[in-house]
Amino acid sequence: MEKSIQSEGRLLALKSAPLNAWIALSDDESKIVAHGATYEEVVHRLEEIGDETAFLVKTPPSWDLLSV
Amino acid sequence: MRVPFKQVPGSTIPVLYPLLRVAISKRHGPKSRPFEAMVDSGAGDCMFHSSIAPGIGIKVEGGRKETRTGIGGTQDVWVHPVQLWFGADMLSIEAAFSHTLPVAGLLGRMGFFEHYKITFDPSTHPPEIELERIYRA
Repeated sequence: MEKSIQSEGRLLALKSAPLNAWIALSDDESKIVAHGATYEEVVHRLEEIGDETAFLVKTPPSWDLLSV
Repeated sequence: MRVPFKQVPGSTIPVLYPLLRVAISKRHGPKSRPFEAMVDSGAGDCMFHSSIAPGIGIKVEGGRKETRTGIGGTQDVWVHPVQLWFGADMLSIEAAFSHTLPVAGLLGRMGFFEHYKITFDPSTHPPEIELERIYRA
């Protein structure tokens, strides 16, 4: 499932992602296949396009170091 | 199981975090889509963003209201029993749901670390997290 860091494609995808949003990344982490303001919005979009392999990421309000 | 840290953009350079793909469900309910959660040894328990809850049949504010205090201050959370799915494992845990969590989920001490022997290994590139399931009688 998680064999490598998938650096470049993942980073490029995340850099292009809207902040403070939900995105769905392709299973190989190389591209954004859906995005939206809420988890449910993104899941609905994935159902519309018939994607069964993407996974969701919540992007933070900024890419500053996280201290939660 | 060893899982490489994942990169995210930093404010200046990319940053590596221990992120795992997990899913959650209400007991006997549908599973969420897989999502990335951060392994956080400083978190007291597992916490998930409230946005995930409606899709798995949980009314967030119907749970047990508590507060959590972190670097960013104190916030209200609502605790619910959930099933946490990671790899082939299913853990029955109590998890807090937050409206303001900046990430999708935190995997903390109660509910996650109590079920695995966890090693953060910075000697590899990228660093890896090693998880060994603990089974108690």
